[in-house]
Amino acid sequence: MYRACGDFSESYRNDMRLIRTRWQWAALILLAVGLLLYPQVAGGAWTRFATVTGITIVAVIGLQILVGLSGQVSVGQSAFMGVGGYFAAIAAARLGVPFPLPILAGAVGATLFGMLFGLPAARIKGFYLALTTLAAQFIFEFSIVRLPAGWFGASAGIAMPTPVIFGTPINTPEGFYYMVLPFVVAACFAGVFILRSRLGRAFVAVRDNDLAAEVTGINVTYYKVVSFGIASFFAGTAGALLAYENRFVHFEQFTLFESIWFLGMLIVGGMGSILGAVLGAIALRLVQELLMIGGPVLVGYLPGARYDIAFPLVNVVLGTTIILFLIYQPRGLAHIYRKGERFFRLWPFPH
Amino acid sequence: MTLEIVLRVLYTGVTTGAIYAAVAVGFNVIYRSGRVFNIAQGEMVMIATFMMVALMGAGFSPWTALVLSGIGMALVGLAVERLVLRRLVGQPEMALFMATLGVLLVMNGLGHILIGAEPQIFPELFGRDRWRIAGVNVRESVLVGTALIVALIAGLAWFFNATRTGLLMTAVAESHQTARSLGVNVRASIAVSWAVSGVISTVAAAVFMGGRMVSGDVASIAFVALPVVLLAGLETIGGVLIGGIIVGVGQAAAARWLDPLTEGGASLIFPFALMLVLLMIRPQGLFGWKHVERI
Repeated sequence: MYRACGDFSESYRNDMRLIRTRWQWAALILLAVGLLLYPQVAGGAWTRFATVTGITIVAVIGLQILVGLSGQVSVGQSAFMGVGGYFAAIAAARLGVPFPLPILAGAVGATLFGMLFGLPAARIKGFYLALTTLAAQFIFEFSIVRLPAGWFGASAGIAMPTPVIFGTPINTPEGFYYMVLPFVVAACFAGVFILRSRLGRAFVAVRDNDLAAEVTGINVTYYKVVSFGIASFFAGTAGALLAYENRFVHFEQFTLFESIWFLGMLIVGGMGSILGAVLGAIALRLVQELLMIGGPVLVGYLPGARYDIAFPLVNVVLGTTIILFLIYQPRGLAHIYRKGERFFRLWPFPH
Repeated sequence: MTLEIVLRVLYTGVTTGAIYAAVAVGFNVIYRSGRVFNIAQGEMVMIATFMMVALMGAGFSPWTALVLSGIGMALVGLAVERLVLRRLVGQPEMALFMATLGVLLVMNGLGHILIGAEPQIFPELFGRDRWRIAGVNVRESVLVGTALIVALIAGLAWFFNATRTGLLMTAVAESHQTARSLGVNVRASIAVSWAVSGVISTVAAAVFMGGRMVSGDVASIAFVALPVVLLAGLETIGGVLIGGIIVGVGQAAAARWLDPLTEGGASLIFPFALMLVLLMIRPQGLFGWKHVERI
């Protein structure tokens, strides 16, 4: 983090602080108030959008820890999310477990599934590993569809009960927003703390050079599997939340395209920082939402369009964005933000 | 008759395996000459399919359509190299991989916008005869297609293993920087490989789609062929044929003997399971290069 002249630490405790200045406290409180008041200002549709974006942020922070910190590319984050969703649905709908616990069940279930697919990391490296996570995606989809309907609802999906917190049923967009918000905040803080911990430093060592990490005494396989586990824990939480928000789980909510979009969010946001994951998720979800609103309008002007082009249009725009960011700004929005921060700290002086 | 069943399984396995190999070799040609893993290969097959549908709809004969869309796909491949990959030469492998993820999204979206959602019929290109040999129903188009694929892969394997140009292109897969400093034209190598891969996807599309209903979703063939790529190894050319046949026959056998027990799931999961098990034993695939790493 950039620190102004005169802002220095006098103790280790001070050096480790996340929030240093009064202005940072002010900004944080302003952000918190803004987040709490958001549903009162925005309408139902935009509140719902914020909820879905929040759930995405949870999943993308998990992926950031796996891809941005440990350097293991995964194209299966959406499948891990799906596993979380299904575990939560079975816990809530079949076993009647009360509200917050199915989310834990989903997260733990996804963690186990994710670690299972992280295990090949003991032998496989680089691309081969990335592509085995693709296998997770297919095994997830095929298993749900092909297994007897009594297990995972096959192609019908499983309906979720309405969550009840302290006797209040949650069934409005505002309610879901406030239900998801604490999880998003917790995920952000967990991400930041992992980044600064022994675990996070080990991940970075594995990412930068796994042979060198091994030689300095880091158990590379262990940390790779753990990072798969953590990523899937976040994904499972997100999947369970999505299941509650949609009141329903179905394997088509967790497609390969979602996984690719999550990776796109990391590229657009910036690799290796939690801020990047948050910014990327917000930016791409916003683009997606605007296209979903604008797409049908656009169809009216295009003579040849035979059906709803919103979904393919989202893919075209997102794909182009990913490529442009890779070429022109590989460090993503987080880097642009940091540059802006630095610029305004000195402005209007050049140095 | 058990022999008859075994023959039938072998026939289905070898012919599907050949198609997997045709799609898989598209991945490998690009990797072998540019260290780029092109995840958008399925989208290339989809575009080739609809290029041929459009050309044949416009009244061209099947073989002319095949040649014309081969040229068209080569141009598409060159366009991808020119617009995206040329700017990323020398970047880490993962950045190139992510760029092809972007290419996948763009191609998939454009494809769906341009061709619409309704499935269309893809005519059989290579004859319509059907024979019954030793109890197996054999289709002429499938036999011609398989022969075409085998010839194509054999030709590519010869090109990459025995010609000077092929070996120079192989050097790029080792390292962009080393290849460049030794005077190999990295850009040209990547461009040629994308053009060749475009032609390969045309052939794969022509063989696989014959007589089927096709829609934008045909792109998923690439993911089905992916276990073949990893099983054979990313750098091999001829090896994909063997990998394809192993996966194809295994899948056909799973479909015949295990599917009745698992409601059709075994044959779908078999390739992925085989791939995972084999990669645990041989991380570089059957014929891939074993890289020696240094700190």
